[in-house]
Amino acid sequence: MAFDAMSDTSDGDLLALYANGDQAAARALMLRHAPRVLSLAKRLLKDTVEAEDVTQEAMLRLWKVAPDWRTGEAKVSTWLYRVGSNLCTDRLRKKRGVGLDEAPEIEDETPNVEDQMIAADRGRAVHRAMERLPDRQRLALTLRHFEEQSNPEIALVLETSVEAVESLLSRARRTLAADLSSSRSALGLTKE
Amino acid sequence: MTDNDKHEIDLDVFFDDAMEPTPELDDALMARILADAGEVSASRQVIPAPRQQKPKGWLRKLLEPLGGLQGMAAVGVCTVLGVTVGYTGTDSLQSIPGVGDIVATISGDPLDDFSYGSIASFNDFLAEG
Repeated sequence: MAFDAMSDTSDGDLLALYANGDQAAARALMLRHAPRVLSLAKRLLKDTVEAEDVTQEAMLRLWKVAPDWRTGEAKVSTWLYRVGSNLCTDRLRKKRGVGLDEAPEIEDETPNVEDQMIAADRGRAVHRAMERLPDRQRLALTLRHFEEQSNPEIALVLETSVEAVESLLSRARRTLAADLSSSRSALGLTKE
Repeated sequence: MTDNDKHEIDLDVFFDDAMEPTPELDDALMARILADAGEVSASRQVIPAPRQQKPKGWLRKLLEPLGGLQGMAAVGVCTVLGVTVGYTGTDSLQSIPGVGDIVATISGDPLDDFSYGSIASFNDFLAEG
């Protein structure tokens, strides 16, 4: 089946087609989901090469589970976010050599160009502040605000309750706001 | 009131500024991912090697011309039945359910009801030529 003809095919059906040897279905699944995994991994790892490795590994795991995939039990996107975020967490742990929530502040290697636009400064500021968050808070915030996932979807990715996600997000926002408020005047960030 | 309202700064402004478009997959990454997909598919389609048959033992080789173990079992049953009938006669078979009726039908002299009167004797035949 041609890829164009697969744009309306559900993820579950594509996985079933792939499991029966249809490589066009694999291509359709890759084009549909891999960019989102890559986006999440880049945000979490801040390293394009590593993010691509994570994306490839997450997709490889999808290929392997395809014959056993049960349509309706999980969304492919949620499943991939979960696998991708776990792979990222493993890599961050190895890099840091410490536990998930004991991570020290990562040194910011982003060049600070003062004459860039304020919006760009804000963007970098929030990225820097997010890197100082514990991994699970950062992951929840990334999924919520950048990947536009709902709280129940985030709960599935993190394998926790919706209430726990709300708590994580709330704590993350408080920490982020406190962190950013110290530099808000420098960035012209005062709230009207 | 949202969470953001509780904070002194508007986080949504930050998030909007930090938003980046979803990255595109470069050709090399796509090729790697699809190569994996192909390999996984190929590994699933590998035909398993046929099971190696156990070497036959001397008893198996000996019995094979006689129909193997099944053939020998049938021969054994027939032998026991034959010996039993030989010793006890067909009476012993009549006690077996289902077999008794058959035995009763075929036992006795089958020529009991046959009349020789309608056939000329062999001597008459020879005399008449």
